[in-house]
Amino acid sequence: MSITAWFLTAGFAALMAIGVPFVFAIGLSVVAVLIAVDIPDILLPQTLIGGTQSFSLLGIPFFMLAGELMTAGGLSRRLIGVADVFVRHLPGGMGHVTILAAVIFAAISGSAPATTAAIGAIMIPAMIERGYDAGYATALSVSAGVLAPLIPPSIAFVIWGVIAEQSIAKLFLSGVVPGLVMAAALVVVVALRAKRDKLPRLPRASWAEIRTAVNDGKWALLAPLIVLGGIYAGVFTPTEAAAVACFYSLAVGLWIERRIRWSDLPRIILAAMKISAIVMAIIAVSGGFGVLVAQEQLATKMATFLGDNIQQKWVMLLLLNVAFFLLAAVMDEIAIMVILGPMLIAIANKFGIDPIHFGAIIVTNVSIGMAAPPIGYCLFVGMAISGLSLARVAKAIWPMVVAMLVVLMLTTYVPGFSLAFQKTA
Amino acid sequence: MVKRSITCLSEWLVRLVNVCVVILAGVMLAAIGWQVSLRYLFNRPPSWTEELALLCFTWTMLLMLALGVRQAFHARIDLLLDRLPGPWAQRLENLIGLMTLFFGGYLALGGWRYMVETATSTSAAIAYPIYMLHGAAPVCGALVAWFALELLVTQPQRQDAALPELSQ
Repeated sequence: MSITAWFLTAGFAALMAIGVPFVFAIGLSVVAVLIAVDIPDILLPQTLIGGTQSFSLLGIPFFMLAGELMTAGGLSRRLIGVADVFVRHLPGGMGHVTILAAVIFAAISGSAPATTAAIGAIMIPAMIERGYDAGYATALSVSAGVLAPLIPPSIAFVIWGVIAEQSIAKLFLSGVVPGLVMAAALVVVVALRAKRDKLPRLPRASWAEIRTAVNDGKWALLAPLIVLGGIYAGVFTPTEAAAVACFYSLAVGLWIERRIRWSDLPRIILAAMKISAIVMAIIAVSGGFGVLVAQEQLATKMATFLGDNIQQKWVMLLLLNVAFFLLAAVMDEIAIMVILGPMLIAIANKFGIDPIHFGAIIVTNVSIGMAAPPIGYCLFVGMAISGLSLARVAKAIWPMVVAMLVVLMLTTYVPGFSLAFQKTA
Repeated sequence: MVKRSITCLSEWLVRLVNVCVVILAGVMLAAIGWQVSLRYLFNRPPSWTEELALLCFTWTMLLMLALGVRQAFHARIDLLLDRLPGPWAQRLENLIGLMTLFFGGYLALGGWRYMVETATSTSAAIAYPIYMLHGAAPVCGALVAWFALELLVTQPQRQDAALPELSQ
């Protein structure tokens, strides 16, 4: 192995293991190679700037901002109100409310942690108050939150679309069936748990209650229609749709719900930019990493090696899923996508996997990684809301992670799952 | 005295970065809003909005990248740090701080050279001097280095690392 390969693999892993933030572990590996191989230092700033000069990625801060504005403007509370009147009477009703509200919220924000925070902040205390186990309430909110990368619009699909150079609109559609089936799988887990724990059932909502909730929530329900309708009617690009979602959420928060004041805006913007920067910093710094990986032909070599040693596509896909799941236990999911992206794409090409189907497999893995212990982002968001330990939430989340893994297998081995709506894109 | 001066300057820089980020994000959003409006109201998509939004995007993200050093919001694995005894954990934190300082310094110098080398170029649509874009790299590097230096000099007692916050 060349010195470049050593720095980019072992060096990078060592930096991560000792606790260097992912963004600087990637950056320092690049710097080490630049110094060792005597490559001009301008490569780092050049790729760093280049990594942020993508119109598609510009959607990330806008989707984050839309999520923040929706929460601050009270739209997420309205969505929960709507979900409540439709499904609260089912066994484990509050759990179903959490899942349905998360699905609708995800159709606007596209961000898993933002969805977990928005829904969890309301549903976790409400579930605990109604006698649900705190660990279970947190685990369910986290699991519902990670539906967001699959339900369009999705930040994870935007990132993968940029890496794989695929249509983001087509990728969005590839997540619809896996996302809805994952939501259905969670519904089954909730119902089984309700039966086991003999949880009390809430009364069915009257027509008057349903009318009131839908009327109160109409502005919130309109948001996904504007965003998704706009994208698929060809009115605007995903990035523009995200910006429109920001304007819409802001207008509703300021003038209809009247929960946002102009003086709140700096705080809301800074919160959104902060969470966007966590993702974007990794993407930007990975630009240099990608150039060096390409120079060394590491991705092609690895894909060739795997192709020579593994003949069957199904074995390759199984190994890939297992590897992603294990890697996600020690590494940020976005970093996995960005750093391993070229290699993953080379493997997909070698085995003739449809790029849109492959994108759905990758993003389903990303979703699960965000909920799976020990370092799933959404897990930390849920823990921050409930104040529970990782061990307690991790114990409660396993049935849901297993349900998600079943959906991953379906997405992997039934291409029709992710390609169902492709003709309409 | 030195520590207090460094902290004071850092706090001032944080306020400045926050103000810049809010303004840049606002311009970014307004530019794309204007782009959509003009295209549908007057069927005349402007050529400059995308370039302006991307300029603001680069600056916003790189400024926030640097701020993440001070506010410790960049995601990392702290399993080892949590298991080490206090003094060793502190030493490891200092080592990470030094490496971050080195990265910031390297980026600042390389970024400066890059900015100078491309100083005569202009952007495609607006024709703004390209150093306005490329200047984000040395500024980001210098801020990363400064905030890392502050952490090293002021040496706060290691606390449980902040949870990685909302992302993706």
